[in-house]
Amino acid sequence: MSKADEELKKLEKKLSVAVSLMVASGHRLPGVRGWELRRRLGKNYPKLIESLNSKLKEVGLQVKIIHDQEAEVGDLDRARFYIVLSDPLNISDIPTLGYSLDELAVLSATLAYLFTKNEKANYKEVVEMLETKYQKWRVESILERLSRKGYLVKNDDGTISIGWRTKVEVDKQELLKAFVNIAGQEKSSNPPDEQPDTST
Amino acid sequence: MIREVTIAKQELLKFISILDNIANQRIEPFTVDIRSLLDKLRAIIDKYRDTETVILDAETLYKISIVLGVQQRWIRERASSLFVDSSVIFAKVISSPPEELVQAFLAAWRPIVRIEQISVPLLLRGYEHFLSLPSKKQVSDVDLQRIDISKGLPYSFEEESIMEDKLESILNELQLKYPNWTDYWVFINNDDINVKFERAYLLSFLISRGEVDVKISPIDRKIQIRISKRKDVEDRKLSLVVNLGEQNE
Repeated sequence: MSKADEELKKLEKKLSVAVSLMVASGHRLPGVRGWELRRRLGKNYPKLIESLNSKLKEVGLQVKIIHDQEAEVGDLDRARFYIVLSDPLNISDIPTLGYSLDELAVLSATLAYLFTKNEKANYKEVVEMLETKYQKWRVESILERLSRKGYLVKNDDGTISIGWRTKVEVDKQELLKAFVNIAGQEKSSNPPDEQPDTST
Repeated sequence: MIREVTIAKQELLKFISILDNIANQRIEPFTVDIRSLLDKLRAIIDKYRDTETVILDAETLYKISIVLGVQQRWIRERASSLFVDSSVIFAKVISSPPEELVQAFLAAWRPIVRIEQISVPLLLRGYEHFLSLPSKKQVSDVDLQRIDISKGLPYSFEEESIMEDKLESILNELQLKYPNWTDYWVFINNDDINVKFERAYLLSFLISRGEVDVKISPIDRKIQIRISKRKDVEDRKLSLVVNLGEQNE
């Protein structure tokens, strides 16, 4: 085997290690820290991640890096690396991921509202807004579930804020742009109680 | 003069309170005009230079610096949110069906890819670790073998009548040989460890039933027993732990 082939094999091995660390880590939270990648892949791990990213894009995935807020700018060792989908999903994919249309509608409205309020708002305000679409018990139950998943955080001071998962999975500007572009329809003539239940 | 100083201090405290509310994001950061606030502070500090006013002035300046940071962050956040107002979002949420809200969300949502799966290499590593752990000490070195139980099991539970007879015999011994307080260890002592154990075991029943009194000296922890003058009707709630072993011989 030529030296070039050996190098290529080594590189591929490192890439597969990087993928397994990011995708199959046993931590409580998904993803992996930069220093863990450095330990397994060496100090040139940022270049390897770039190379991995270009390969992942071919199969509809990409690497997402979230920097630690308390760390210095550009400190990759303390950043967290994830693999996320690179292409948007269809509405028909939602049940496959274990969500219902109502849950995502609530999440969408809540996140858009929070993004315009510095990522934090009064919990009651958010519930009041969502009550225009769903019954209060359903709104609270969905918000609770979303908090457990990490999209939202219910604080002790009666506010609700963005969770860690939102920072990784949701593009703030894209969401707000999409909201602004919503054409909207006339308000439904049926009262909220009689609206059909679209949950799966 | 004193009244004027007090008014000035109250004003400074009011400023501090407002600035605190802004810093804790209870009110909008641009509610207060910082420039005019600084002018007022200058006027106060030029007029009154007592220690307390100077301290309050310093604290107000510190709070102003925090609020300036909050204002800067607010502008950055608003810029990143494309200056879209929350009322616009509110209106969109009310006027749009859930499907449109979800479509907007899907345009911005890229979920994390994660696998929760055990793999063969991981299982092998776990197995290697298991093998490397030191084995626990054997509970018993005695081989399992058949024993003859025709004469009864060792340490078997005896019939109640036999038990009562033994309790009666211990009680009589205590009454006749040791009418006063006597040392616990002296009473149960015997060359045969099995007999010693049996005497301690029977004595524990008599103590629980209130037929034998126990006292422990707080100074030297000496345990003494004697036959009870009156029998307690109710079972005693206290417990006495006695370690019966070779060290007590």
